[in-house]
This record gives sequence, C-alpha cells and structure tokens, in this order.
Amino acid sequence: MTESAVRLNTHGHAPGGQGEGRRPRKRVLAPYLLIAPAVVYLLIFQAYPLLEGGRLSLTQTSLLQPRSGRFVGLANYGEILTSPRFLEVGLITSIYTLASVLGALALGMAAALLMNRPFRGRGFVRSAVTIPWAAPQVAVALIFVWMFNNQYGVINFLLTSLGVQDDYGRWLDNPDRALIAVLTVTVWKIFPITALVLLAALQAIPDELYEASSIDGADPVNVFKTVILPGIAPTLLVITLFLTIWSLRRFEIIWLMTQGGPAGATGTLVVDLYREAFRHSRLGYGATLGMVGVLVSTLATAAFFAVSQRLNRKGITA
Amino acid sequence: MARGIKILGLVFPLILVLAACGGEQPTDPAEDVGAAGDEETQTGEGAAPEGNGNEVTVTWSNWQFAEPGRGERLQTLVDEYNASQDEVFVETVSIPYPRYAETITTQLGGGGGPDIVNFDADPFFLAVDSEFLVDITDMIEVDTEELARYDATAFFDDRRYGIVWEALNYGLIMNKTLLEEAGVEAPTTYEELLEAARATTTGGQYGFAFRHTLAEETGWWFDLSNWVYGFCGSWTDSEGNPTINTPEVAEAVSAYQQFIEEGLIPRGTDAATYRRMAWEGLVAMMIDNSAVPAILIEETPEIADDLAYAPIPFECPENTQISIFTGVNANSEHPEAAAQFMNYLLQEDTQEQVMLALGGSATAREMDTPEELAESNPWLPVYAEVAPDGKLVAPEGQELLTAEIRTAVLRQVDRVINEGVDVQEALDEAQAEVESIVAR
Repeated sequence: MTESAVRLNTHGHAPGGQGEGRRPRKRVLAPYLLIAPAVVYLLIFQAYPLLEGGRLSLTQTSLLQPRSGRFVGLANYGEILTSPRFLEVGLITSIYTLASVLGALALGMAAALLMNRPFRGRGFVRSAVTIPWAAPQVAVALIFVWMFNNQYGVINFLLTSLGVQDDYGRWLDNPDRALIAVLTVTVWKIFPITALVLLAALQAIPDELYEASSIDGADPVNVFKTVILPGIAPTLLVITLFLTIWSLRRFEIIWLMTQGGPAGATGTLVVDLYREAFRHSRLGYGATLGMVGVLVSTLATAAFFAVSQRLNRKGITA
Repeated sequence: MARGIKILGLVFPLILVLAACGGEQPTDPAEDVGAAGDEETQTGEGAAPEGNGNEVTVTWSNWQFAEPGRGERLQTLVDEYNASQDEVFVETVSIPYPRYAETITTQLGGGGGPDIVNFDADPFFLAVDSEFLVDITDMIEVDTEELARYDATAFFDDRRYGIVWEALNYGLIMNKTLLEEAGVEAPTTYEELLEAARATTTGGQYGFAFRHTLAEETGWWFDLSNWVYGFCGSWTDSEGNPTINTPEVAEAVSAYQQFIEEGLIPRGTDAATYRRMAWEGLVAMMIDNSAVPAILIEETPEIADDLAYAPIPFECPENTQISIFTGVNANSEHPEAAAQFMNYLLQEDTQEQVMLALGGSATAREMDTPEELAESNPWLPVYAEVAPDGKLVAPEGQELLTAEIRTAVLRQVDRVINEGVDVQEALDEAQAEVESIVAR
C-alpha cells in the first residue's frame, strides 16, 4: 500500500493506529439524538392517541365523561360484528375507497401524461391543476352541494342541456346517485396530487428509453406498458397506498354532502364513527370503529409491502 | 458544531414534551372561559365596563350574544341588571352556534366553563345526566305555578336543573296570495292541507316544503315530530317505552310520504333553500318555527302582506317545541350568585324584556304578546297560542338517547322514502332497534 493510499480516519489516526477498531461515543449517540425529536413527536401525537383509542374501545365511555368509562372488554367489537349495518358499512367503505383510488389514479395518470408533453402554457396548466387539491375541503363540499341541487343545480342544467338526461334528476337524496356524486367530488379533489406525483416519476424516466422504444416501432400503448409503467411502478405503488389510506379516512366531503345518507348509500366507517362518538356520545363504541379502521389501514399497508417485495424480486425497486 | 448539535438534540425533545403535557387546568371557571377554543369565545360586544370590584363576577354563555340585533338587545338587558345592583356582575360570553355545544361540553367536562350556561335540549339532558349542572331547586324563588307548563321539562326526578330561556314552537306559515290564486282557503284539517298543497303545486312552484334527508337529520326530526304529534302519536309513552310503530305514527309517516310521492315538496332541497324559495314566492305553505317568518320578511319585505299564520291543521294540537335552557355550571364557584341572576330573569318585568329581546319568542312565563310587538309581528299571537301545547322532540323518558333514537327512526323513514319500503315494516324495524338501544 503506497503512502498516498494510506488514508487517515477522520480523527487523524492512521489505519491500525489508535481508536480505529472503536468509534468514539459521541459519534454513536449523535444519530439517535438527531432523530429523537421525531420519535418524541410520534410517541406523543401518534402512539399515545392510538393506544388511548385502543383502551377506549374496550370501555363504555360517554363523550361528556371521557375519564369515567366502564370496562366492557370486547363487547363493543361484538356489537360491531353482530350489527346488521356492519356488512353494509363495510361494503360502502370498500366501494368508496376502491372507486376513489382508481378514479384518482386514472385521472391523475392522464393529467400527468398530458403535462409531461411539451406544449405552450404547460407551466400554467401545471399550476392550475393544483387548484382542486388546494381548495379547502369544506368550501368544496358546500359548493358541490349547491351544484348538485335538484332544482337549481348547475350539474342538472348541464346534463339536461347536453342531452345526457331528459329532465332534472335527484342527486344527493337519491340512493342510486348519491355515492356517484360524492365520488365525483372526491376524485376531483384528490387527482391533482396524484398527477403531480406521477408527473415527477415520469420525468425521472430517461429519454433514451423512449427513443429506444421509438426505434423499435412501439406504439403508444406498448410504450406505456414497457417503458412508462415499469418506470413509475414504485411511485404508483406508494401513491396508491396513500390514496387508499386517505380515502379510508375521508370524512368532511361525505359528512357535509350527505351525512352518510340517503338510506345509508354513502355511510362509510368514518361517518359512522363520527356519528356514534360525537352525535350519540358513545366515545367507546366510536373508538372501536376507529380501531377497525386502523386494522383495515394496516392490512392495506401490509399489502403494499407484499407487492413491493414482489416488485423488488423482479428488479423494480420501490 | 458537534457539541452544539448534541445540545440541540437534548433540549428539543424536552421542549416537545413540555409542550405536549400542557399547562395546569385553571380552577376558576370565569378564567377558564377561553380554555377550550380561545379564538371562539369572546365577551359580548359593547359589554358594560366592570363594576366597582366588590361584586361577584359570573360569566354567562349564550350563542345568541353573537347574533346581530338580538345580541345587542340581550347585552342591554344584562347591562341594566348590572347597573341595578352591586352584588353580582354578569359578564356575557358569546360562542358561535355551530361550535357552541362541543365547546361548552368540552369546557364543562374539563372542569371549567362559564358559571351560567345556555343549552339546546339535547346537550341540556346530557349535561344533567353527567352532573355538569347544579340542582337549583332550592335556589329558584319563583313559584313553578307562575311559570309556563313546559317549565316541567327542566326537572328531573322532581329536581330542577335549569329554567326555560326560550321556547320556539311550530305553526303553519302560508302564502295566502298563492292560495287565493289557486282558489283554496287556509286549511284547517289535514285533508284540506293536502288539497291546498295539490292545488298550489304547479310548474316550479310547490304547495309545501319540509326537511326529508339525513343530511339534515336534526331538523328533519323536528319536522317529522310535528306530523307524529299532530296525528296524536308519540315516540315513547309516559313511562319511556318506545311507541315507534303505533298506528298513529304509521299514519303520520304515511301522510309525510304522500306529500313526497305526489311531488308536492321540492324534493332533495334543504331548509335554507326552500325557505329562500318561500320568500321568493315559490312555496305556498310550510310548518316552521316562530323565528322563520321574520327571516322570510327580512329577505323580501314585500312578502309580509302575502303571509298568513295558523296553528298546524292536524287532529291533535301538540307541536314541536325547541327549548333552550339556562342552567348553573357545577364547576362554578359562585352558584348562589348565578341563581340570583336567574331569579332576576324570571321576574315578570324581566320576562317581558327577554321576550322583546328575543323577538317575541315564548319564554319561561306564559305571557300575552305586547300589542306593539303583535302589530309589527303578526305571527306572534298565533305562536303564543300554540305554545302551551309545545312538546319536546326528546322522547319522554329516554331523553338521553334522543340522538340514537332519532338516527334509528330516520334511517328507516329514509328507506320508506327512497327505497319504497312499506311504512309499517320500516317502523317495526325502527321499534326493534330502539328497544335494543333502550335495553342496552
């Protein structure tokens, strides 16, 4: 080994010299101290509420006397499982989650592909597309309630003018259409973030891959399948997970538009949780519904990791 | 540099922990007014300057202090009381209505809150059950015989936990011009009401309007209860047993459904919208509370000449009553001073002032509407006439379960309206569910 190749460690000791086999204590502690704030934050604002929710779910607790709950074991869980509404709520939650995720992915992907192409005004479009996402959820919900108004809503006016329907129809009070209305608002609200995330992923795909596929004579569909999709797969997976968990947790839009009606057509788990905990003052039972939601979110996350592992084995890193 | 990072790493978590633990719970309820939702609570506008320092200060919360017009009139009432004696100084606290119940119950549950608290009926019952309110039976000096019949709703197990601050009742509001144009007279029976609604429903104009969606669950409960009471039904009997599926209730729900099925109401429209339609002359009749005529006239003054008022034309005179209660916070350090002010509120002279400040609403005492008020507000005598037959929407004997019973019943009625389920079948299911709720 030449002298030039001898490298001193950061403490000025030559290899084999003093301290090389043992790192100084302050270097060992430093990383832990740096992440300590984040850990403390997570413990206080995430772990503690989660554990408290779990505890509450084992009690019968009134909202007005949150410290005076009575331990009832798994009775709340039993009540959920034997409730005639459990399957209905589960089904509506699943449909709402699946449809909003697929809708946001489809619309977001289309928008991302469009915004990835060069055209005049692209910068403006990229900014404008964020407006739905940036708008306050409450304001959006209330405006759409008016837009879906049976007698005066602009949506009925447009659909009738365009010949899509013969006459003004019922929306938010129609069990067949209420979920469609809520999903429309949801997808409109969340597709921008999907589009922006996927756009970033698209821009990371090397141009050479497009050129190579062009030389090979691939049509746009094949380019999408063989170049774009593998390139954005890890990002697609992550954004799908986020959209799923956000959709499972979504409350404001549904509550403000329909409060879970009509006839339970938009009654998701979170809507039921709010009603039980804060309208019926059954904090314990509401916490139980919350824990069911946590379980579902955990399963979704586990599915994400399973798919991620599979992609890793194929050489696509998430 | 490394040393600085280490110090920061030690100090920052400590700051977080201290911030998360929060400060001490204040013990003085008057100071605790801002403990939960500081930005939402404020003392009343134009509050009188503090007294000479010798009096006991009590705080009084009411969302009405934040309402334009009414808030100022109520503050004047409080200022006059403060000026009239030097033992008790009342300080008003206004919290906007949409956040009022949650804010106040959070404060009360946290061991704080104002000394005197106004409540809607549902949170009032919950507050009594949670022992948030003082038993003021022996503190109120006014004889119950002098107060209105519905004063009894402030009692539990023969003990008084509050007084009735305001009682809003329901009556029939009609656009008599639309009725005349359709060639019908003001209805005095259900059958006449149905005929009048049919005659006045044409084009974009509707004969009637009411709430009928779960998106307005609480308001829908009030509206449906008017029909149930009017058809001589009830949600529970005098012993608190559910009576959801009785023939009377079924008849009321069927009648409600008939108006919807025949297209006599603007379907899917919320109360804010159909009240707008009413002041624009597009709704001929509605059953609504005593605050609504003033709203309609304020938006369209010309409609005042078109409006007429009458008791609800159903078989039984009972009508829904929206009661607002005033009680003394169990956390208060000055319950006697608070009760002293409440005794002042119950005096006959003060009750007249309260009635005027509230725009003519019924109050704790049954009183005739003052002439000048009746002249400028012609609906008041009608609502005063029906006030003694006012009935709370809280099911008798099961007041604490009102929200759950309401949801169970309205979910089934929702199925009748939107899925065509048979009325009796739906009410039988509601009865079974309510019985299981009561039995829990």
